[in-house]
Amino acid sequence: MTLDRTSPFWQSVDARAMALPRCGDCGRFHFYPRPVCPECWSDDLAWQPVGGRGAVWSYTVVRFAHGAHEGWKTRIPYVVALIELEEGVRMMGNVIDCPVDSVRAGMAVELAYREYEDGLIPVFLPAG
Amino acid sequence: MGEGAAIVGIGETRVGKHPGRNALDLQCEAVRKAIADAGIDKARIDGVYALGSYIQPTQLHGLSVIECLGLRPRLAGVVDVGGTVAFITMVQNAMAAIDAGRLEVAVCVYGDNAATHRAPGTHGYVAQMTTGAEEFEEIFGSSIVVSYALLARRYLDLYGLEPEEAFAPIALAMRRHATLNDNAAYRKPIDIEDYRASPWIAEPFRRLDCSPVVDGAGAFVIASPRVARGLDVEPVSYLGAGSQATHKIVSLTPDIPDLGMAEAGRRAFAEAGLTPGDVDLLTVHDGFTASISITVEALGFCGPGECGRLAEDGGLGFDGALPVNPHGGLLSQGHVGGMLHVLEAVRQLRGDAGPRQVRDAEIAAISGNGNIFSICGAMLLGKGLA
Ligand SMILES: [Zn+2]
Repeated sequence: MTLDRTSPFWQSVDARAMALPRCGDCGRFHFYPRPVCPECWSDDLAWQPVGGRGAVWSYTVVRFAHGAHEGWKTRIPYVVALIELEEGVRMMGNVIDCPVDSVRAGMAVELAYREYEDGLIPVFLPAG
Repeated sequence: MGEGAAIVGIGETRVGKHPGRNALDLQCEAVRKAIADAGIDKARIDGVYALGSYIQPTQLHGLSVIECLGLRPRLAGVVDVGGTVAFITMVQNAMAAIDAGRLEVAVCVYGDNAATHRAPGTHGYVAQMTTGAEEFEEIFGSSIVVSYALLARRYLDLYGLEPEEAFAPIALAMRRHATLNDNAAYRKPIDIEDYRASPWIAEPFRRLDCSPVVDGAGAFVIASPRVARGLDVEPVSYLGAGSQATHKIVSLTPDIPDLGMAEAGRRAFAEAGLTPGDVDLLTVHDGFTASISITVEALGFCGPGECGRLAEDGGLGFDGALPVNPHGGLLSQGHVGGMLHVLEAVRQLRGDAGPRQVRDAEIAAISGNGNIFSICGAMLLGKGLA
């Protein structure tokens, strides 16, 4: 089901310019898109592209796709991380194009996009 | 507050595999056993708190239990907040109703057929059954295990620990307990070499860090002190409880020291007028080894990052300084949602735990977390009527 609340996120990803909802009242970004600003309950939300820089907060190397999304079962080992974006939000994402054992907390990453057989998703690459 | 309430009956099915039976069948068996244990007529049950299957979700589950067992309760509800906190919340609700004179005898029940009725190709509970917002996590290859692995990695980084020192001793301690429980699904003794040989699932978790799902159910009966005094059973009193919710999916988790567990524990201890030093045994919802570390430390039973060392020194054993999950926990008895953690605490306080009995057990703490430490809860029970 397509929701008014979430579809702009996926449209921004498709345009390779990921945007997140930002509150017009308190100025905070949030992720994932929710019906109101979860901080101040304002519904004055606007979509704003992110800069794309972030750092790894935590990470895991998945070596057995336990209950995971079908497409990922064929991609093990893969890294799932929680990324803190410079906009002050944390989101989940895959760190790719580096050895899976090289990912560490605090590592600087930058946003990119990758086409998989099940669709285009935002991903993160080691920065620099 | 009125006079409080007491748990007066417990019942559990065999854990393992029950092909051909669904969650409702298993739950009805557990309720029948709990009622028989209490020695009370089923006509006296005027409250039913139930949680249905996650593997094969159904609606209006409480009414199914009521109808199948021919009950006529005045109050009924489904409580779905996850791992052991659901059952702590059932007790809090039943307590409040008993205090207000709205009911006298309630039964609380949960069970699932997660081992035999899971979808082909899946292991355990898949993410969309519980996490929600899966559009923003599942698409990155996440799952329940991945979510907890992210929290566990943060834990290790925060305290500068390796999984072999932080988590392995916990897996071994739970398995040792399961060897003493004839209703545990995983009873083969293991040592550190078995742990090292256990395959990675999602680092830092090996298979032995993860709880296996089983089929099974448990139920307990909670009653007013007036009813409890008239029964031929050792009552176990409610002393206090607390909970704290903070988030739902792991992307939005607070950092380890800011999870709701510490606050939940403070509330439970304050209500009971007790401190961690008063507790004789603890049952902890242990979906993963790291769940025990995070919980035991947040509740103040040891310092941050110290639980692995405590386990290594035998401290978590039923015969140790802080007995944790003498029944083997989710990790080695098998995952029945944490309901059996409540039953084990009651069994221990009654002195009915056989070869794994904790000596002189008078105060038990029960704690758990729903989803990914999204809601945390703690409850204190005491031997006899308060
Ligand atoms: Zn706002």
